[in-house]
Amino acid sequence: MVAAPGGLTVEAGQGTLEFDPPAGRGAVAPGRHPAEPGDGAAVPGHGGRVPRALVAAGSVLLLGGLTMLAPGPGAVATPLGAPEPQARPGPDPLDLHPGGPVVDGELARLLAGEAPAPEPIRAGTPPVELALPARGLRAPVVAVTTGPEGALVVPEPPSTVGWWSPSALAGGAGGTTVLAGHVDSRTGGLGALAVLRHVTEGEEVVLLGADGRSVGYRVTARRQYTKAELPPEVFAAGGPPRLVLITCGGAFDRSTRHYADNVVVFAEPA
Amino acid sequence: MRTRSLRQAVANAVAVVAIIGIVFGAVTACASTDQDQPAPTASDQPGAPGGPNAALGMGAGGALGAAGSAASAITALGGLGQAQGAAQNVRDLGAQYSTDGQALLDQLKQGAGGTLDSEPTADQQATLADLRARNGEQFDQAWLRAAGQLQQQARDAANAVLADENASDEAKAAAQDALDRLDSLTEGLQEAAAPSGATTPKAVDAGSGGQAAGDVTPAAIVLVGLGALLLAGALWWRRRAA
Repeated sequence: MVAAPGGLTVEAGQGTLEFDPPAGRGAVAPGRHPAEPGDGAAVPGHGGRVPRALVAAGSVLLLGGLTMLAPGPGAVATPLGAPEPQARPGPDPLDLHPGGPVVDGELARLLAGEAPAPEPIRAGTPPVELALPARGLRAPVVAVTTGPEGALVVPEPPSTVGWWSPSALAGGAGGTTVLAGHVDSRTGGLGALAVLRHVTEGEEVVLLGADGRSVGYRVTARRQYTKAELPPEVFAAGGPPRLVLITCGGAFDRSTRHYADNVVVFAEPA
Repeated sequence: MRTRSLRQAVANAVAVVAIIGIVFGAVTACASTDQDQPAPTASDQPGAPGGPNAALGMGAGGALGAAGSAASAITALGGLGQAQGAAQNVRDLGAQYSTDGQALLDQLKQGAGGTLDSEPTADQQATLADLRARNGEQFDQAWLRAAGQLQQQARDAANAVLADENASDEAKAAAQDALDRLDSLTEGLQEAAAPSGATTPKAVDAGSGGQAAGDVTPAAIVLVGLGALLLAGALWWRRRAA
């Protein structure tokens, strides 16, 4: 038998582990011998199998728990009913703004020999689809308003995202475009915007406009606020163009079926 | 010997499970590291063409110029409301804004001695361009919101004129008249904004299922419960052994 620190001993030849408590602690009851027949210790290997099994089970629990805690790539919530992500067609050689959000036609005027017109103020377009390409998410967008109780009306099912229509159009020269969607619902499962909890800075967000235009954004920040402290600035009118995405997060109260927080993602035109 | 080994093993298992439970509990309670940080305002963004001061024209033409820009934008907004409004109350408000905005502009020009740069700012022009691209209810909602925004800008500019020690008496009188005229517009605007759903939301309730929280909370509850169970078992074992 080889003694190890802490009272752990390794019994040579039998491969068993025993924990020998320090004197004064874990004392054997009076009248009972440590190796008294009938307590099972005499069975070779039996005393080591149980702790080994518990240690193994504990390790599995620990590893499983750590894996769940790790900020992984994020649960990609491709909403039910939403169109499947499809490979985009190759670049159109006649497209003067490949991937660009705005086509003003100024190059066409120059090619026709016309004098460049004064730059018009860029008009926006109502968003009809939200995409996060890195997460394979595409969700339909519908116009919503503020409800009679003062809360933003969030659309059902949760695979649909709401554009707060008093906010700015997508791709315009200024203003905040506000989109909100359920993180989940009791009947609909995870929502399209459940991915917001995992979105990182620099990630691409694309809004498809009603006129077929794609407006690209890059995430600049993700914030989480207690619901009662959601700053009104997220709905700010005017200012430079930006996109704000809102959903719920934080602790979930099962009695009221409400989340404690709002998760807000801010993005600027790409 | 077996009793001691089992007891020790149970104690170790309890410790492991309890630690996992504590960690899970802590993570559940503090779900995000970026909680309660201030919202990045639109004017914080790099390359922003304007912040509040730029919108009011403080840097360029001073407070009176900013008031003139706002009055000019209100006049244009009124014309848009008359022409594109879907609801009668928006068209009526549009007519009122158009008339009052022009009167406001004339007063401010008079107060400035006839010279006043009254072009809408780039920010205000972007707002007007956004409205021109809309129709129907979406136009009405955005128009009502823009009316509140421009009215507030005009009010801020008029207050800035009143607070300016260097402003002439004529300019201050014009600013005071402007504030009175803006007050008369406010009531009609508020009455129209709430039913149309154009007011700033006070809350966003966007989750009722709990599935999104379900990846942490139930696991933490199970682990804590298991840890407590094992702890109780260990105590019972120790008492039995003693």
